[in-house]
Amino acid sequence: MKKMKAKEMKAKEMKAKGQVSVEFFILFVVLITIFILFVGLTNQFGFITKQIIAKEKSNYIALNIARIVNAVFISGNGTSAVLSIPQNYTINYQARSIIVEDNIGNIKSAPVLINNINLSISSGAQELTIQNINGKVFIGG
Amino acid sequence: MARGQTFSIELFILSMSVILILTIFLFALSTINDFKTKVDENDRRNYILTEVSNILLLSKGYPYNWESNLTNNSSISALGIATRRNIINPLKISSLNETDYITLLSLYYYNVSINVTWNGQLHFIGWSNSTAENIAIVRRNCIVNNTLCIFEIEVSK
Repeated sequence: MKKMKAKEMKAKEMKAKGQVSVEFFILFVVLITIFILFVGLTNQFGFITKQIIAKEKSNYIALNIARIVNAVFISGNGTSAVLSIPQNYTINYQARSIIVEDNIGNIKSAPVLINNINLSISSGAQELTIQNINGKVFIGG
Repeated sequence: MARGQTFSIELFILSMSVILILTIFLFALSTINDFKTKVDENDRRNYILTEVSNILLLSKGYPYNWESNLTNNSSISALGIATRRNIINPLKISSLNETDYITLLSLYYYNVSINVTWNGQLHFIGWSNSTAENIAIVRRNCIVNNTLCIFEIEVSK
């Protein structure tokens, strides 16, 4: 009788241990999943934040150039302004807009209120000279 | 069984907390994005508002006598209604309505109205959308024919 009871007790104990292992495994899997999810989300959040900052930078540069172009035109013949731009940005002028593109392909534009713009910027230029010559605006760098 | 129950309750609480945190996280992300878009739109509108009022009131336009050649809008490079800074040429005000000023002033996507008032007379250019929200207005003093005038520009989207 005693032996039987001892065997039954051992079997019960083993079953309980098995249950604990399964639960521990499930918990472990859930925790790993949550961790992976968090890492993924953090990466995604970082990527989105980087994109927003990059777009904001391009937007700021485009608006800044457009503002200065307008101001140079308004100020009249002979006005000249020099503007620094960060590296790795391409500046273009198209359809009354200053278009700024960064090295990861973010494009932002800002409207300018004049059409008589002549743009000639060498690649990698970090300084723009904006001049009003007889009512025409020349952007060089 | 008691151990199993404890695990299940803990798992449930943990899952609910994680779901809650994720929801807050995603909600915050979309709120920041919405806010950013709104700020950008307002910045653009304010840019248009100040720059258009500046170029109209402070410059002659280009060519300087653009008002005498209205048949060919493409020859107009810039619009301006001043003879000197803040001194308006009345002929240019009436000519402004006959130009494609939406294109010439890059006013696509915006409702713009320009009022110039002097000697009790109102000169209206553009259109006003009474149902528009988010309207920005700039009022500036100017001179027409040696008389004080008020130049008002309203921009909405």
